[in-house]
Amino acid sequence: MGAPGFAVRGDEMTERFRYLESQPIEIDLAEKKLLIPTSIEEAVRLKHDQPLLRIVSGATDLGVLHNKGKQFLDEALVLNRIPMLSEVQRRRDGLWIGSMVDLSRVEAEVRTEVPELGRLLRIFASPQIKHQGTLVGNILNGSPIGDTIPGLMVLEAKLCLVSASGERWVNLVEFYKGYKQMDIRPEEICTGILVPKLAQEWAVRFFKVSLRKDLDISAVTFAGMFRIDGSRISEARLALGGVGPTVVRLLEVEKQLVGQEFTEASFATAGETAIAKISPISDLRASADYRRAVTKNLFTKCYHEIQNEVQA
Amino acid sequence: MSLGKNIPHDSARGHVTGESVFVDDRPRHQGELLVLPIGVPAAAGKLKSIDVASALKVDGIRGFCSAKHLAHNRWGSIVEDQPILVEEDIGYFSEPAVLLVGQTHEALSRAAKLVRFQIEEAQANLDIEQAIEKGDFLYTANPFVTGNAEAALAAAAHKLSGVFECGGQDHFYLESQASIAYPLEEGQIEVHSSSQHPSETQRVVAEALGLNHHQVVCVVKRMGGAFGGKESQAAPFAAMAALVAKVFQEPARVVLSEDDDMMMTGKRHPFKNFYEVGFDEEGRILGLKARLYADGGAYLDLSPSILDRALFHIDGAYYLENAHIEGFVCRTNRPSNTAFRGFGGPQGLMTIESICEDIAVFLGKDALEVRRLNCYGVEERNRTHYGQIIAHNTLPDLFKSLEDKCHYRRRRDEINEFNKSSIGKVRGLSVTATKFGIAFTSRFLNQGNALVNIHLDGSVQVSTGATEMGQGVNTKIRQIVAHAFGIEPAMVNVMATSTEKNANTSPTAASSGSDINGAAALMACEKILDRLCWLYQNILAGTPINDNQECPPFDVKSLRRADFNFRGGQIVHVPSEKEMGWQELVQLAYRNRLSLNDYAHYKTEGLAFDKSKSKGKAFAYFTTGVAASEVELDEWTGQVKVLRTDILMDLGRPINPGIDEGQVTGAFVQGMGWVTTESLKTGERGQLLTHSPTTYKIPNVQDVPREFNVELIPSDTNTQNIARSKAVGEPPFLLSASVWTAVKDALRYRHPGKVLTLRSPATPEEVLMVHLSTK
Repeated sequence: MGAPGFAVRGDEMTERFRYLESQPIEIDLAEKKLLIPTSIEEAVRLKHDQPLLRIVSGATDLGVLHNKGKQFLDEALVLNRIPMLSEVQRRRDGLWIGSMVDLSRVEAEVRTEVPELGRLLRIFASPQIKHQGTLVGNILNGSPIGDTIPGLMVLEAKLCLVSASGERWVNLVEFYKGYKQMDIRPEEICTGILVPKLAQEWAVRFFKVSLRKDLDISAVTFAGMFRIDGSRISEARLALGGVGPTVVRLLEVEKQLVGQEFTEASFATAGETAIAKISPISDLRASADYRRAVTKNLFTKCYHEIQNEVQA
Repeated sequence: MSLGKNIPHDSARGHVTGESVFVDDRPRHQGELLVLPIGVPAAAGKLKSIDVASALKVDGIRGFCSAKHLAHNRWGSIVEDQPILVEEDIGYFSEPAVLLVGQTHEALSRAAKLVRFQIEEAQANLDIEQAIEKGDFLYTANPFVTGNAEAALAAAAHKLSGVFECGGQDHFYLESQASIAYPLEEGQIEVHSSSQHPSETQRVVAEALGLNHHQVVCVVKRMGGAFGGKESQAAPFAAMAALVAKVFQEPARVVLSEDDDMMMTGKRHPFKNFYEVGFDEEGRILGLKARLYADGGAYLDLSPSILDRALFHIDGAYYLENAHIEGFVCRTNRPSNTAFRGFGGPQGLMTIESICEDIAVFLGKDALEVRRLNCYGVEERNRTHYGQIIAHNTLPDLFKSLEDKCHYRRRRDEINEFNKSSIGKVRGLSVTATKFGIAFTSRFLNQGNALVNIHLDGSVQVSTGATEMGQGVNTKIRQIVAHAFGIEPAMVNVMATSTEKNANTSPTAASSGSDINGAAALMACEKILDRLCWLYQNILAGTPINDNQECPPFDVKSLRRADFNFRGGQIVHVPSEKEMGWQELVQLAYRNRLSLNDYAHYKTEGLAFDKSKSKGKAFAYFTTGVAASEVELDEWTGQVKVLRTDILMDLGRPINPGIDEGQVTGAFVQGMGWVTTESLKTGERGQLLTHSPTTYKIPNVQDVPREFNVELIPSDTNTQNIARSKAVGEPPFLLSASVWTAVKDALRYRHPGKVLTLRSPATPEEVLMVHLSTK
């Protein structure tokens, strides 16, 4: 091969880039290490041997911490050369989103299946961030205000975790154990998330309440899914973020709603029950009082929006 | 004919391609050092010792500097009361105390964590109330008094009293505080700084290092935004870079991270204003008593002038026959609050706009009616509370015209209807005004100078004390000079601002950059033009000009200046219609040893304000405008959406209407942030918690009003200023009050007849809590 760029023909160069792209990378300096495997087996082996190795995907959070000198990414495992992790598949049991799929793509892909998730992602972040950040990254960051989590929780999404000892599935509802504590072992890698197909018609509402409407981290997030038979609520799923150390599914409130008339009063009562069960804190984004007031109101807002939809 | 044209900003292309050089884009010299200021982890108390031993062991760290290395450790624009580096007494949390010096950012970040401070921490004073209680004031303004407010209040049919409270605001310039100092021979220093005030930066650097001013040159190519934050507060960081350059004899660079910048520098002043207003049945304001308290932070900085401007602007656009206005700057343990677009004006004006809204609620009237009733008149009711007559007052016309243009009546009806039937959404509409006084209220600052050099190909370089921060001052000066010489704007370059070309300059501030420096540049041009006309007059008179004979010496008495003009790249002798090309004329002037270069000094005439009485002509003129904003509140969350804003402004004859419109929209949106989402939060120990965009929310593109109309009215009466233009930088910022008053208007629909106290910013939380608490 001659001097780069000049002696090589375009297609030859493309081919060469393709080849290079398919090759694993390992840069091991005295104080810094970067590992980019090309197969999941290799990635699993690396994680098995070095469980503390940090997986970096979009780096929308870790990159900021690094740039600010708060947490240096001296060792990183990057999975962007494993093609299967960037796949979106429409499976019989639902929509599979690989762990390297960025949020822009998710936003585009879910438009038909879960339009409400697409709507939420529209105000989630700027296009630049959404091109970079991944859905699974948002989930594994474990933040109690992870914007996508309540919605995925009520959709009963499941994560696929693999390690040298095999594969296991975890329901997102059971995934969060405490503040930033998750049911994933150091040697495990999340390969993606499965969002189950909805069998029937559900009314779905996801809300994100933040100081600034767009591109802001939420104070409170709300996800509600309901099936309404005639005038009664036959099924309900509810989750809240920003009101405790983790995103929570409100199973008791759900139970209380089922069988109730689909009225503002039922939702208002549910809101009252919900705020009795949460323990929000006051922080930079909002006071505990505001979080409680908003949580309660979101139940009413949810009712009215669904009501309008039904009427329309 | 360049005046009035929309030529592009001189850096428009460079900003897009990345060619524009900001301080931190300057290539690093071999051996150049990076400097990281480390702040103290306490807001008050005594610094006993600093332990840098472990930090110095980090690879890539070259050393440190502290207060001990400084020849003079006090700075301040009005009073030198602020240390560059903490010696013992701590003023605020994160106040710089030690400079780490290293080769890489990473080394500095790692070392920063190892610096240990021994501090005797004291109780920090973090709020205005506490300072009021203790009477702990940095400055007390001379009251502004007109008529008899006490008697007017006593006689008024109706009275309201209340508190208007607004928060601070971070400047959020994209380029943080940045300076590079180069050590030159014989102890001289050249400092490149992101500074609005190169002369002060030069002075602070010289004094800090124990140098004479002539040993320091400060150069400012441009700033990536400043908004007032680099008027006074650029200087100490330049001094830090210079100190390291001097001690280590290597170039030294200080570029703050966004987080450090937010934690270490002052902001817009939060205010808490108590008032009592008396008014008649129709809503006419009869008397106003107000006490304004500004949070000054730990040191004086520019607070006195900022507080004064709040007192000047408490009238908004409204005639106050009887007023008694007092003002105080409170001392708190926060970074010294400082200049920020509007400079106290917004905090004064918001008070009266809030009052107008409340009077309307109280009387059950439309707030626009109340405003138009109180608006300054053209022939009468046109004297401000400090005695200045508002000349050529366009405010009544602006109100009337905007009311029609934005279809105020029709939309009011529509909003009434919408709010009746809507569930969970409520809309509000409000019109507010701006009447911004143009001039520094410190008289001595109203001066500037300019240097104009014509080169032999006819192209021109201009240098003034104005600094370019994106606002387009260079472009406007380019147009003024090109217009004067009758040449294409591309033939004129405005050069980097440097104290070796323009000394003793004023900060580029008070919206006056183009006014003062443009006028000085024009004066310098005029001096050269006189000589060029003289030369051409002699040529036309047949005076032989050749290798043996030279043009006679310039004699202003024999010059018939009015016979000549310059246009289309020619000098034209109007009576004979004879012409000569610009370049030829320039070259002939050179060969005849007539100077093609000149310097001029300009001062704003006619200012006559008596500070001891708070009376007189404080301002050269006023820039006026009105805005109508419509908002929609989500009643469940308190979130505010701006649906539409219409702005109408009197900017005289704009030198560059496009740049002016950019200033109007930019200032308005920046102001919207201040009154809606920008909320500064401090921890119990006085540390700023909202020190990055993660938690501090400036408006983004989605927050711009969904419909946004900006229009300038034709206006050519402003003979007070260069080319009959008007200053534009700050005045439109004050129009953002309309968003906040529109929120009040929306809440009024759900709480009829109730005068609500809403603080600014109207965050979702503030709105919801006010909404719920009064239900």
